[in-house]
Amino acid sequence: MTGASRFGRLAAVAGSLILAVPLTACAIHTSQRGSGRVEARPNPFEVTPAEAAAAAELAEKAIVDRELRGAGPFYLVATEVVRDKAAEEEGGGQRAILTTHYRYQGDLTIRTRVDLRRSEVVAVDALVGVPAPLAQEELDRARDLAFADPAVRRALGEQLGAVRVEPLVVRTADEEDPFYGRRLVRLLFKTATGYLRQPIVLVDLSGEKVIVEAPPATRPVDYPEPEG
Amino acid sequence: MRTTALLALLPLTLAASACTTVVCCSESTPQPAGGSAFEVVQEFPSGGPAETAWRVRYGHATAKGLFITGAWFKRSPADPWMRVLYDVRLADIFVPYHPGSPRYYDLTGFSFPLVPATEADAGCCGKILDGFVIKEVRDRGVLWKDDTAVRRGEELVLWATLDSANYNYIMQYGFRDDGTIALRLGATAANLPGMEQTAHMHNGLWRIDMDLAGAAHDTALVASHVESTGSPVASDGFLLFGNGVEGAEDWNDLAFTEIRVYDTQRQNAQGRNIAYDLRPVRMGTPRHQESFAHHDFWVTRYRAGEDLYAQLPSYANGETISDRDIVLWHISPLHHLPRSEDGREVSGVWQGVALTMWGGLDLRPRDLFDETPLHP
Repeated sequence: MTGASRFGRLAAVAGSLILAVPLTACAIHTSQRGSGRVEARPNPFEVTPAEAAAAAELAEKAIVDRELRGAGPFYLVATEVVRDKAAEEEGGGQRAILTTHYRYQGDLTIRTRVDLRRSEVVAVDALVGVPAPLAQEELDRARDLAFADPAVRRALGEQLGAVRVEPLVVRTADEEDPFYGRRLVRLLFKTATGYLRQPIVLVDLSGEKVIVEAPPATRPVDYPEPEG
Repeated sequence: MRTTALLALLPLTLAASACTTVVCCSESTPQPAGGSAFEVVQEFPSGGPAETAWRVRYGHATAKGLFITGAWFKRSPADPWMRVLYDVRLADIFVPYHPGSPRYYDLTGFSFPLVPATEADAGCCGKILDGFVIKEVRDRGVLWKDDTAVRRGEELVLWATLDSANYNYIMQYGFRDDGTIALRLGATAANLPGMEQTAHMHNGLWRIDMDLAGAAHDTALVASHVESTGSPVASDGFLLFGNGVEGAEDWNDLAFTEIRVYDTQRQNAQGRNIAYDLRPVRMGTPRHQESFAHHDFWVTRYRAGEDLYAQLPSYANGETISDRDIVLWHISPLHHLPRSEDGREVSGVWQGVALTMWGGLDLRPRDLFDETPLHP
């Protein structure tokens, strides 16, 4: 037997052994690599465009009927599928949709539950001072206001046309806060390399004002000086 | 000769290239034919034969993230499925910054989507479901040990990642072989642009609709355990949550506070009512200006449409919660005091991410089994 063949047999044994050890230790099986995607299935919690339109129509009629429309800006900000335990236990094929409208006047969020199977409004809740997402029209308005502001344009400079704008809705629970009850949005500016640290731009959509904030101090906590 | 050697090493090489980490994966149970969409069945031990099992349904949606729409447990192969959960989810994620502003509601205040799942998310042993959700069957270490006898535990984990602009939240639901349910929220990714060094909180606001052995006949207790520096005697006590009506309770670290939910009708073979204990996993106790954050636990009667954590004080309006269909609510805080490890500024852009912090709660069975589970 040549040295090479001895190496070959030894390697064969070693290779099998090394492979066998993890199999024995796990006593289970090898990788289930994550590529095994399940075929696409319709997501039951996704609202179809037809459902969204039908729910919005019913909800907005109910809001007007209840004299909740008020004056000023009013947006449909969310449409979602909600569960109904009683209906599920009955085994019914219900399709309950919750629409959320935001009314600037009075900082009012209106949640309307719609039973699409029966084409009827089940409940309307008008809530003051609760979080509500931003409608696309509101984001567009906030972006337009910010990009028209000289301080924002100056701060963004050459990146003005290249940044992607992402909104963060800001709320306060403090009635003394000047922005209490107002539709306030922080705009983030994202480039190919990440989020710009400056400028910090807030848009008060209720008053159509742009605020450019100074950055806070960077050092989070000062340690006490050691004695002696 | 050399060919023989290479052939022998080939399987090893293939395994290593398919997955660069050590491969020791627990086995996913083959899903039953005709099973419901968005449902996962997992038997334990994963290599069989089955001793316990979970059947879990899940859902996901924009502005909601990943949530559980039903969970059933089998204590033994011969047992029927027993419902434990009707619906569990993060009702919201409340993020107040220390200066008082901003104060974000990362679910109800936005329309954040889930991040598409990748093979890197799934790792060697995970599987991508529906493009967004990762399913893993994990070894979770020693379940019990008795001298040389030992049993390692396993869990089915479903998780997904919410894309909260600069930030990411990992929503993770673990279903363990011993019946425990581990709910976790992980906070990670880039700190708030321009305020990267500003301390803040990430409060996971959980809504837990437990339907233990069915929707009706659940009762909540506050369990406490008190030691004393003035006496060698310790005590354990139980009170009806809110004296049997909707309300709130506080977590007391000196009382080991837990919330117990038991079914008033169903007992185990020892004549004890089956129950689950809610145990917080936390680093402290948050108290914010908002009234929903003045307490750690709330219990309300199930009512369709009552799903906003910020509205809890109005939901708790005096209805009885004894021997009823009830919902548990819990605030689970993460305190984020930024550190150098979160990243640094490079040419006006923040480079780096905050490593994942975890918070949440466990729902641990009590008197669900008749004896030690997963034990000879």
